[in-house]
Amino acid sequence: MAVAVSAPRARSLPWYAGIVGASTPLQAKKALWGYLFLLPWAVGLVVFWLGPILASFAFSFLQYDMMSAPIFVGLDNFKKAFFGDDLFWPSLGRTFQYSLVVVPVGLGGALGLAILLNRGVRGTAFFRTCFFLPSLTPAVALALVWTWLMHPQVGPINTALGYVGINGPQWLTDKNWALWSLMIITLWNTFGGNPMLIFLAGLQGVPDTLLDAAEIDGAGRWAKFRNVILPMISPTLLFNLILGIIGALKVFTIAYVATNGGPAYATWFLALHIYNEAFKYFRMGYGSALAWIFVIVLLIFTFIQMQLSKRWVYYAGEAD
Amino acid sequence: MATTALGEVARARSLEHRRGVRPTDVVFYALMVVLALIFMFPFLWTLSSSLKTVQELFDFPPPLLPKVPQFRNYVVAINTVPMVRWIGNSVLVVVLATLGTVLSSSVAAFSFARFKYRGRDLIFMLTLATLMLPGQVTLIPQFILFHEMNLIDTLYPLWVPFWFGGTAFYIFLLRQFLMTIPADLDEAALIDGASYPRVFWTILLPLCKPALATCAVISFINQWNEFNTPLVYLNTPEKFTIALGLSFYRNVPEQGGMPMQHLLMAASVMAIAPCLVLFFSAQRYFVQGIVLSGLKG
Amino acid sequence: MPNKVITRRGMLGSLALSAAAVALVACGGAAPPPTEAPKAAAPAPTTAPASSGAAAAPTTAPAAGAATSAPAAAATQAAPQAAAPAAGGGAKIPMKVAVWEMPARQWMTPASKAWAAKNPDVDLTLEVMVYNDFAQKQLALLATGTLQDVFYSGIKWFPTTASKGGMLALDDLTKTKDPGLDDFVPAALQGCKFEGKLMALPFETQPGNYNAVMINKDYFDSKGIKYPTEDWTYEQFSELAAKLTDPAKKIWGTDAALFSNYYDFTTISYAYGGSLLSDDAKKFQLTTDPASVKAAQWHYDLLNKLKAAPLRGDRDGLTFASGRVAMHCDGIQGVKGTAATIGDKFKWDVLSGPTGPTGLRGSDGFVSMYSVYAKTKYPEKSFDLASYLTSKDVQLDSFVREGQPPSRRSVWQSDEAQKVQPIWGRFIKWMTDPKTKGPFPHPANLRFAELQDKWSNTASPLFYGEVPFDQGMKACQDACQAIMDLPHV
Repeated sequence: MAVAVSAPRARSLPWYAGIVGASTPLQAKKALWGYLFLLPWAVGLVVFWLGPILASFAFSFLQYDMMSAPIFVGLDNFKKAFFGDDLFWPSLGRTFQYSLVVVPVGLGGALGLAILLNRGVRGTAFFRTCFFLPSLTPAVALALVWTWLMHPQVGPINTALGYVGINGPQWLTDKNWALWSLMIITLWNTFGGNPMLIFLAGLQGVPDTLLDAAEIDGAGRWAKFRNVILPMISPTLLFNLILGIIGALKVFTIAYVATNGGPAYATWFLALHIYNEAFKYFRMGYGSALAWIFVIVLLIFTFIQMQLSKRWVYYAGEAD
Repeated sequence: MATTALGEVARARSLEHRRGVRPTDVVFYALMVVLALIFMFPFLWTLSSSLKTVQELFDFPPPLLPKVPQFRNYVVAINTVPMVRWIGNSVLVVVLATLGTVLSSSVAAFSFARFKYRGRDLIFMLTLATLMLPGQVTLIPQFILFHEMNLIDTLYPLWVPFWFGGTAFYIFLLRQFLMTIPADLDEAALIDGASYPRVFWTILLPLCKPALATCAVISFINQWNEFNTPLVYLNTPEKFTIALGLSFYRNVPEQGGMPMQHLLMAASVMAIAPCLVLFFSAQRYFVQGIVLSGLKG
Repeated sequence: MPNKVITRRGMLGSLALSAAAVALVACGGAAPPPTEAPKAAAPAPTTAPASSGAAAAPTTAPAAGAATSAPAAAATQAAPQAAAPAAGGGAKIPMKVAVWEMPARQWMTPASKAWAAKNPDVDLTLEVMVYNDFAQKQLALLATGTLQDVFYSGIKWFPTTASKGGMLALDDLTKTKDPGLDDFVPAALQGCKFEGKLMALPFETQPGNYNAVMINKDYFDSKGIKYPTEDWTYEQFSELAAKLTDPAKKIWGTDAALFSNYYDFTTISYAYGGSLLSDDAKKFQLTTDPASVKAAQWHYDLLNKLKAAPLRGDRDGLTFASGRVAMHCDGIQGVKGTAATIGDKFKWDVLSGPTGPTGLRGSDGFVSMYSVYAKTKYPEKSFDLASYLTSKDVQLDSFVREGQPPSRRSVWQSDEAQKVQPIWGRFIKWMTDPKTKGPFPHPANLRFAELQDKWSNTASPLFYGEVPFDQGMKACQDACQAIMDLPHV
């Protein structure tokens, strides 16, 4: 680092340098500042999260209904999940199926809308608000609205499909279409929702001068997008990707309010399974075990993504 | 610095938009209008339902618009439940939680993005892990925790945690943004003798404004719509938030009683309205882009 | 530059401080924010059709007992403790009561406050528990020992809470001070018992979610078909439904779906002379009990052979009020609400659901009840409150406000009830008929929620004809029996 050179007198390392992982006095000082800035979150992490996380981890080895005394059952809960629960694997598969559609399509749509809205032309504020509206609808009203929108006979969706000669499906009430219906509802909500906002903020950080320079160099629209915009927003993209996957795999509210897992288990997602086990069937221990299996799957996913991201995410200000 | 040059670029750009209507503009606007209509539909339906009579709501097929708008539904919805009080509680919680989130998570994000120390990556993964655990399993332990602190049936559990970093979502988001800002900037300031807090406050935070605004808006809306936390922590109706209050209008057959769908719709519109106003008016902060480029040159 | 920094920091800092100050005031103290309307906590009965305009609570209170208490309730709306005159000034008994209210059960709050006004030595706090979420919430409250002294339950989760030791047995207390046990509908009282002990007092009871049939008289007239009478059977019901169905006009004979919940289906099993659950509640008998098989065949045929009731895709949003259903199956608790959705679109009537081949009518004995927390410090006072909340005057108020079915015979048979609907007198005969089978069909291992989820996901493909009848029956039977075979919760 350039700064280190400007302090040529080699001072001895402070005693804590080894503990904080520093090899120069400056690094050691900087590390201390790092810990200091981390402090509020560290307190929050320990007080509000660590306890509950450890508790739920402990629950996963218990048979526990929150009211009677818990019984230690070792790995039984995990064994049951893998071998003795005929809803676990299908719900996991269904959750993956949902995520596989919702994450890429949702991100693509959000990015597309963000780019359209980032042109800054007249009326953008109005359009942006329109696109954001669906994500403001309270969950309680959501089911009522969508049951009507997707009504097989009189709903506007099938009416519109009817105009172009398509006989629309029975959407939420058909066990072959219920999952797809929930995907559509989710996408409707996410295209203009938080991911789009985050992309917009990312696009704001793309320097105009870089785009102008690219234009002068004769780059077309696609080349500009591919070579300037995409690398510049790659940290935002990584964020939306990781959070999108976590959010999709944790899908719960929409299934809870719109279909309650049905019909015939067609929308029985893993998070719904966990909720039902823990709260409805009073099996906090088993619910926690399921949750931890879920966390481990997600951690592996996220770790792989973070590793892979080193190849495609460009950070202008990486810590060194 | 290159500010004047940048100003010219900006001026040139805005001039570009002021010249005559081009065919591509027509296509663009047509596309936007169609998309806007599609996306607004659920809301428009909520709005129109909120103005229907109960009888109209149960017609089949349901009419698109009410014959005579029933503004009375709003009056009834306000009088049936303490709507005003709940909206007040929501505003209080949301403002406090959002302020805490933006301040404390940006500090943590600064630490993750700009410093290197032992355990950083491990703590960061742990931070991400808090996002992954389904809320259902941490809910009860968290409830017991707040019970031990004697904070049940107060609004504290709804906002105090957000002054300690809030949730990992915002920390991660701001970290990603901070990492796009060239490190040369703060190093230059450090050489000039600035302290780390000063670098954070006077250089990095202003550069993060769009990201901070985004965080604030997302936090506002998430908090506004949060249902599970108030459900578990609040007992007396005077303390309820609006999202929790809306659940009073849900109905199951065995519950019987009078139809309330029109009231639910009216209450939903009233719950959406403040968010809508905020979003519309806070927009300029998203687009108020900070031009980094000149500084790098 | 430095000026700007200080300004921003100062502004943010003061903002944070003032915000924190506001929070302290709002959360800690009793001082309400200035925006709050003082009457916010009082339920305005504007939705009750009986009262026109913004009439205050007293005008809707029907009985003399309730009328005297209502002004007190109105006076105490802001804070119950403020109402009680500080008699003697000694320390008051702090008690909590769970109410399910705003706007679903509008009688609970005024009734609780009226009781508090009569008991100035008690400092009563009202906690609102939303019915749909109370199971989840109750878990948290039980885990921390903060359940209310007096709380309500639905029959669906009542045995679970009772088995976890959350409820005080009331047998001894009722011997000391009889809350009028004889007046309760016997099936309702039966539903309040757990392992032979009385764990609650009922405030509402009804025979099932779909056992009141509302008929569209205008449509009957237009078809020239005679209205059915109370003595009809399930077979006659389906014949009539088939005759009333008009595919060209998209009008269905009925919207019967008594398979939505297994406990709804139980009522047809009972009517056919059998039972879906064995007497020891350990066996699921969909395919093994001949009566249940017949009941299932009847319902399957109604939808798939006679095509007199809608299949899955046609069901959503199909309301009686739209005039597209000739005979609508509702719960008696829903009649008043459904009537409100009809307005003056057409003339209608309501009658008891059909009987089985031998004249039997099934009831699932649905009950809602008030219990006393096992760990309460004030069992007598709590029991007194629970008795009051299930008393005749209070139930009459509940019935008049919202049409909720009372648990006391005297209320069903009262002149007020007869004036609203003659059906009430007929329903009480049905519910007190000793031949009527009940009570609510809980599995012996108390895995109610699991059984219900299994049923709803396997029975709907069967009855909607998405799988062959025999295959669907077997799948549903096996899935449900598997839940019944699990150990006790």
